[in-house]
Amino acid sequence: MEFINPLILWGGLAISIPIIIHFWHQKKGKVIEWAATQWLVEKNLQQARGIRLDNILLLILRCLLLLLLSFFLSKPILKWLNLDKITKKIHLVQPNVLVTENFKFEIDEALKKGEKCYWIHSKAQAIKDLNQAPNYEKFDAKLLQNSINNISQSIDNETVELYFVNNQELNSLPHIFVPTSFNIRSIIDSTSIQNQGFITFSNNKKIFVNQKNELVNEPILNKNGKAKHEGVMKVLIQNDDPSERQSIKAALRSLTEIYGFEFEIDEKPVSNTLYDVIFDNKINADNLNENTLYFYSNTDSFKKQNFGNKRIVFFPKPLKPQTSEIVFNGKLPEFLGEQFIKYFDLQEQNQPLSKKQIDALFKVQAYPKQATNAWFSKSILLIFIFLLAIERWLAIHKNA
Amino acid sequence: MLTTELIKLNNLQLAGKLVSEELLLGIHHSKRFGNGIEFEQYRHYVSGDDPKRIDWKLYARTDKHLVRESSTESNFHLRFIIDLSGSMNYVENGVSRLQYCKILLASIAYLGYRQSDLMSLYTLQNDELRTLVPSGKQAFQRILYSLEKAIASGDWKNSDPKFPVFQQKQKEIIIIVSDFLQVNNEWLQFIKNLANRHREVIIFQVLGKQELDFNLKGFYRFRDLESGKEVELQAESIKEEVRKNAENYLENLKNELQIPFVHLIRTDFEASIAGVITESIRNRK
Repeated sequence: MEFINPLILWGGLAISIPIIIHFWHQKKGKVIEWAATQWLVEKNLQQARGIRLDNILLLILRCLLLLLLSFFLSKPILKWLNLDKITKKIHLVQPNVLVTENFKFEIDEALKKGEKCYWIHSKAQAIKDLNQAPNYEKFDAKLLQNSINNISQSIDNETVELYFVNNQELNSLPHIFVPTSFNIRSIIDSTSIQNQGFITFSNNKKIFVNQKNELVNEPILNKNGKAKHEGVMKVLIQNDDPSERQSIKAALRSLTEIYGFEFEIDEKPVSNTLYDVIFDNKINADNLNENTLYFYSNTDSFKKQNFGNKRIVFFPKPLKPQTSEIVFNGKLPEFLGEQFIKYFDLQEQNQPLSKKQIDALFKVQAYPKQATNAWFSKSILLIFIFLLAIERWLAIHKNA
Repeated sequence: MLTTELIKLNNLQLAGKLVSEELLLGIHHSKRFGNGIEFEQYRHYVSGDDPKRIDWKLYARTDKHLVRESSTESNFHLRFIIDLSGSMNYVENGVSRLQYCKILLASIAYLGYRQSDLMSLYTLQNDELRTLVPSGKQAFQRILYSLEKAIASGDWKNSDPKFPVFQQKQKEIIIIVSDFLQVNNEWLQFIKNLANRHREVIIFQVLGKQELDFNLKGFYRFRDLESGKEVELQAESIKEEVRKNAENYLENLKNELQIPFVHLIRTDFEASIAGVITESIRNRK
């Protein structure tokens, strides 16, 4: 026996109310010898009798009523009905050939045993045949969470077995909640990690994001990849304020020192040069280039404009230690580096999550259970109504 | 004098005397002597007296001509009826209805005694009118004695009241002392039949202040004095209705008894007995 709202069981203490009333009514009125009883009002007398609790049977009935009510409200669940389900499993499979092929044995076994198997799909379809996968959907954390939510109604002490391809998309939600204990059977799609983006600088140095999700500068790339940029990055700094220029330069310099970025910095635009990165504190919306990453500072001072799909990063304040928190805390190089990674698309989306990350991602959180054995609570309610009827009948007819 | 003080005296004769003396304040009249039952005195024969009135037996003993004198009897016959049903035991502020009624009757009896009226006492108990003291010798003393002994108990039954037929020789006054809480039409009819030109009916209805006003506060268990039935009630909640009921009943009773030769005098325990008697006398005139 389990209760959904065990706190309401405290409501059972309410049986003290009829008991107190009982003893309250035991208290006798001051006896007064009265001659003119014919003038006393009989009607009132009847009413007073109606709520009297002289009768012990009535008292017991009323206590029972309150106990039943609190018991009913605490929503008991009969556990013994579900004892045999403890060892069962629910299988959630991503409709992906890679997954189904890799875990064919496990899933087939489960299907044979008659365990519940579902596709990780917005429609939460049950698996009948591994070869009949539902139509393709983009697999990400949201979809996974939704399908777990969908089956959560039928989960009851079963272990959830999750089969999916491990990639970065899962990281789009802070946590994925599973109602019961779970096993993760993930697979890394090595074929999709072919196109590792990198930047090549002189001496064949390559900057890329490695398997540990770190930005490194190494000559050799152990996977196939695609150069997103080659050679020195051309940077134009057009900010008027010399201290702004100084902090930007310092940030770029530190990037060069740590990661080996190579920058060619101009302070005046040279004609016929296509800059990769431009820093400015005035927006010139007409003259924007598709292949350039723009950093605009002090954007608070001019109006918002629509820049379409261009790569623009705004700083609301001038990039000076006095006005910008990023600069003051020395976070500007880090920020610029992240922007470069995003801009050059160095981070591989199919990069698998580490085991640690996955462990941190998935959390067990029990869902509010629905009383599956509705007949039980219904019968309690019926008994309650029945007792209430008896109580009323006794109170009105017998005790009046 | 306050009723409580009169009760404390615990002497009906004294109480009656005190009350009636309060009434007769300043009234003096010479005694009238003549034929009668009550012996008053002997006096010497003087010429002009009827020789018939000489007590010859005494002459034989004393050799003197002595005339036997009695106080003259009035032609009034006072019939006292006291209700001895259980409801007479109602007590309020230390004054019981029965005590009040006893003193009231004793005071009137004293007045009657002073006037040498004929008096008799009847009790009304269990709907039976019993003669306790017939008129005759030393009726006053016997009335006082019987009153002191009287104990109220039993029900006021409304069905079939039994009464002896009052023989009527002279003018008489019937004085009924009761609470008259449960009078039905039979009773009213009986009273109506009783009253005529030669027989006046004076009814003293003695009620408690609380019975009329119902100024009780709190939770009470009302025990009926006659049936012993108990009812628990919150006094405040029924106050208005009780008052209305009482008013209706009393109003109705008053209207029913608005007939010649019947006087209804309603009083409560706090009213002075002398005042009530004065009022009754004034009403009769």
